[in-house]
Amino acid sequence: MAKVKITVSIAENHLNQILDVTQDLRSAGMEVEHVMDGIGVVTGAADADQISAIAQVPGVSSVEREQSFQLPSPDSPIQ
Amino acid sequence: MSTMPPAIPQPETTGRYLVLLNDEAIDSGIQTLSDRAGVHDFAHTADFSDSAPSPEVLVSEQPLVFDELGVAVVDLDPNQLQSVNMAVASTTSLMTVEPERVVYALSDGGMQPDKREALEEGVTLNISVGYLKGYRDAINNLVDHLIPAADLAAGEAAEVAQISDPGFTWGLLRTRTNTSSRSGLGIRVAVLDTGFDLKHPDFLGRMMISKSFIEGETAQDGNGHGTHCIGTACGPQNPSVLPRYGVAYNAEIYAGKVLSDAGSGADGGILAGINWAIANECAVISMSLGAPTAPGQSYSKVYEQVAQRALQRGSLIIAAAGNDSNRSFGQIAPVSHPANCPSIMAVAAIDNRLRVAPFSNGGINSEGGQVDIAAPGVDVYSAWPMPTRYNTISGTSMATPHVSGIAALYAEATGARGQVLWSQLIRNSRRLWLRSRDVGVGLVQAIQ
Repeated sequence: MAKVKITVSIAENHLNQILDVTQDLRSAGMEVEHVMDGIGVVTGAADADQISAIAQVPGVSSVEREQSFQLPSPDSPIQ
Repeated sequence: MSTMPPAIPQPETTGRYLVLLNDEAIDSGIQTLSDRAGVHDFAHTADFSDSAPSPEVLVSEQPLVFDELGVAVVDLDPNQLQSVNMAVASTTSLMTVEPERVVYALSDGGMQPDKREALEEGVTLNISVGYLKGYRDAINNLVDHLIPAADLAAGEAAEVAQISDPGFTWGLLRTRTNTSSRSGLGIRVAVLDTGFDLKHPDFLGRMMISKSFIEGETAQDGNGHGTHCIGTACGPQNPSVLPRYGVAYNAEIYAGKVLSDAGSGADGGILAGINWAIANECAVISMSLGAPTAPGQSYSKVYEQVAQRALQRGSLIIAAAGNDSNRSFGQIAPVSHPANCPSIMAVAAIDNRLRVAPFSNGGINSEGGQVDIAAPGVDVYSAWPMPTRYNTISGTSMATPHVSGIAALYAEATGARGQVLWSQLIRNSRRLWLRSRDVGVGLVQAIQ
């Protein structure tokens, strides 16, 4: 199954245990890329059918699929 | 032949006066009133329970001091009034004096008693306030339907002429940045975009930190978008080629590259950029980026939590509302992700004549999807990677760094951060004759 990129926000009451939560995220099937303790977010990838299990990990506030952004071409008059 | 215009009703006054005391020297203000105008025997609200004076005291002629407000209410004859006016001009203990006004509760229909009386006498029908309100609303509704919305929105805007000055871009003029006494000195402004032209001659010697969150690319801007945005937010006071185009010319620039030279990026890199900016104590995080949202779509819970944490840590995130509208054809698209988060300030674009830009997104979605503020975003001149050096383009991407630079001016002047800084931008914006759906509270204004 193709991996999807996800962003996970950590609940307020687990912010100081973000590394423990990250370990649990790995156990739930997430490939962790970055742990951002300043904003309480973990980014990475997972199989689409593992996302609901990841959302159940204690200390997880929200799980969202990563969105991408695209600017218009630099010669476009509207940016 | 001319007819007299209808008289503008003058506010009713009570014959008493409100004197604003210097709140750092209330006792000395009271002493001044006593010495200069012979006003004695003050009652103090602090002496009443709950600081609420009795109704008798409020209507009596006894002078009254609202200790918590630093205001005295006093009876003054013309000679005393003159003395107080002179004391206002010559001392620091009295700030201003003005007549006390008669104020009616709006639930009474906002009418002055004599007018209501006349109505009741002249019209024998038993007309209730509720009936009148219903009649008014029905008429307003009818007018709204008969006049096309575009004409309503045009209203004042149709009368607004373009302004220009060889020394400043129109955006700096319209936001009153050109006359601000502030420069963003000591304030860190992060611009998360396509990086920056680190060799641009207008920025030589500037305090600048850059970091790339794009794999395989340095922070050097190979696109132009990031250089243009940083130019608006933080460009120099005296560029070698006029006009001046930048707002916070002494701010420390944190250029985070979260969009590639091809203009593409993703949440992971953008969140990493926000994390970096917060860790570096940037008071302002400017994000001229967005992904379109569908009508009815909610905001990202992850970004909202991040934005709340940023505000708590003293970083205000300001983002572009997006350019997906086509207002010439009546199409208004909802505010983009992540500007649609309640705790991220969403910026719309207006033009030199204070009209909504045709591409600028609107507050279509509920749950935080509103526009918060507007800024110059049509024909915006700013820096561009060398050798081009300057470029004039449009977009909510160009409006956003105007707000970000101005936020740095407030942050410097007042020391405000996070939510308080947000409030200062909102409170001081110039209200426009346009829908809040399109421009939020109005046009951002620089602190003077």
